[in-house]
Amino acid sequence: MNGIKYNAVNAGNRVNRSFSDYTWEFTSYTIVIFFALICLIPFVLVIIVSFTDETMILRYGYSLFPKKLSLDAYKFIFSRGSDILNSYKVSIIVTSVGSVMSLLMVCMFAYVLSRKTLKYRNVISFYMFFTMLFSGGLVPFFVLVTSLGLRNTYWAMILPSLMNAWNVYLMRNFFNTIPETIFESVKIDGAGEMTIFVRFALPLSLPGIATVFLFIVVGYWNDWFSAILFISKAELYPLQAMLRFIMSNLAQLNMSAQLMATARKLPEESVKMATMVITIGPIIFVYPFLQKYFVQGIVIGAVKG
Amino acid sequence: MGAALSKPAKIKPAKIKPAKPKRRQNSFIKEMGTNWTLYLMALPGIAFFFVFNYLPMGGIIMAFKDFNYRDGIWGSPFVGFSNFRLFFRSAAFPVVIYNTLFLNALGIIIGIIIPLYLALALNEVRHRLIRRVSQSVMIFPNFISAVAVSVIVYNIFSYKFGVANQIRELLGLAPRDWYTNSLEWVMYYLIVRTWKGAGYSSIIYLAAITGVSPELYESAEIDGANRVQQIWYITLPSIKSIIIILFILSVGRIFTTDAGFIWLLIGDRTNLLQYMDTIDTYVFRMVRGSPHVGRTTAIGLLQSVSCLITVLMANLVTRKIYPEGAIF
Repeated sequence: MNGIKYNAVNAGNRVNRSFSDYTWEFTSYTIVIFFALICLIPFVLVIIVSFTDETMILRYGYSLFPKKLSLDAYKFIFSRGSDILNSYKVSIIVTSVGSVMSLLMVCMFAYVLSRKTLKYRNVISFYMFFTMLFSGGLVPFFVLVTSLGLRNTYWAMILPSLMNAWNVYLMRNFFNTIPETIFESVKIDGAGEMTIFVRFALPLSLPGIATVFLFIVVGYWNDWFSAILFISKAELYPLQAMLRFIMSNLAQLNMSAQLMATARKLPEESVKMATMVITIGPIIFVYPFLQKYFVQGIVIGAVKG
Repeated sequence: MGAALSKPAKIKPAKIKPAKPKRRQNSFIKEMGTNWTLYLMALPGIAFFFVFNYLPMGGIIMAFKDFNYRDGIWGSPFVGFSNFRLFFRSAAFPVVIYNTLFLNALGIIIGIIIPLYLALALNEVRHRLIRRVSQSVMIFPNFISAVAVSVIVYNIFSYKFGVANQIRELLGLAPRDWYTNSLEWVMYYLIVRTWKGAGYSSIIYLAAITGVSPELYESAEIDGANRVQQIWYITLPSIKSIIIILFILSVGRIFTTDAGFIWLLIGDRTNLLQYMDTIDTYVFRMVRGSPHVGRTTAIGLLQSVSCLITVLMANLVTRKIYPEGAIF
């Protein structure tokens, strides 16, 4: 068949294929396509429902082929003074501030762990590794954050997830790929550690930094648990917490007076789905980048970590 | 550049003088003197782990106290092991332990078999476009939040609008309330978890599979092995160590479940708790309600210690039977 479309890696160009080979290949294609569709269709459904006219949902339920479309849900979300829009703002603040701080700390810590000449490297490494093995549990953590006075502040959503051992190991593995000879020779030229870090280590590990940064960004964006634990003021709800909130009680949201006058009825179901769409929207946006980097990322992280 | 720069580096080891036996303190100070910038760079991280990981470990002391906010951690009276005893004697104890182990045992088996099978199947798909698109699509659910996943679950099981009841209607059946049978939800939980994570995990296996030398397959082919036999006798043995490593990692988590995720799935429906109530959901419920700090800390401590023991044991066993798979 068409030679270009086939990868000659594993048994690609074989001539004598048995019946069982064909069966196996056919099953493989079927399974892969089936699973891919299962993963795709729910999102398509959510997006379509978010554009569906509310009366159609009430009459026919969620449908992939709605009889009438409408933008009511998005008009509601993007109306002035909307709570959902406000939580979008909270999410953006938490994600951007958190990610930058986190990336900086993770890079510095990982760099230190990657320097083989450092005498107490193993001590520091075990200090971090132990946090993967043992933890104080949810309640002492909860008491700690509370007694630091972080409840109902942005910091409650930013600080606790600044670092985790997993990201540090991932980043360290990228730094480890830099040959040690580079450090030694630059050092002989009289460069200090800080210069080596900024001028050499960071630029040489840009793909690694991109990987870790994307993981961090997605982590912050998707975090809802810390908001559930520590945030009780609705104006500090990030998008994920808001989405959970409106899934149970949408009617309590603020509606702008203008919208109240025009809308016949709150488009409840489509607003839920539209909120979901804007929640995963940024993920879809960065997904091509994510995909580019994360394959090597998880392989390095999982295999060597 | 690398070649030119590496020249002086090669001379360097010769310059190192044999270290004289000095007093220990001296070497510490000396190390700090030469590498102070590096230690300074590690300081924010060290401080972070101290505050957010080690301080809560110190908070474990609350497990042995009758904690109240008025007296604080230090002032509250010691009660010995009574918090633990209360938990052991409670009706919830056997239930949550059983459920945690049951859910995780199923989760571990499914969490290995399905991604592994997907990876093998993906490896078979040689049509580039189909391969790339389906790979992209099946990894995507891993990157969305648990809340978003719960919205999708709601899409399916909502009584009035859900897809599940629409299908029943098409089949001429009456709509049903899907939130009634606890055991059924164990199944849904496992399905949703697989849906979210299987594509992502399969990438790790796939990476290992593509690393297998093609020569092995070629010689197997000459010997007349068909594709399935090749997978059984070449692919699987070749990626054995990665399977074992991932198995140990998941066994190490056998006492932990994602409380938030379960809560997002079943909400506060107490009728579904029979098989879904795990150690974590139990603690989470107590934390959200009126938390008895001492008792919940005690349960958390039991859990952490069990986790630690399982990880160490799993690693020890692996080191005995398959040293390459051991993590430390």
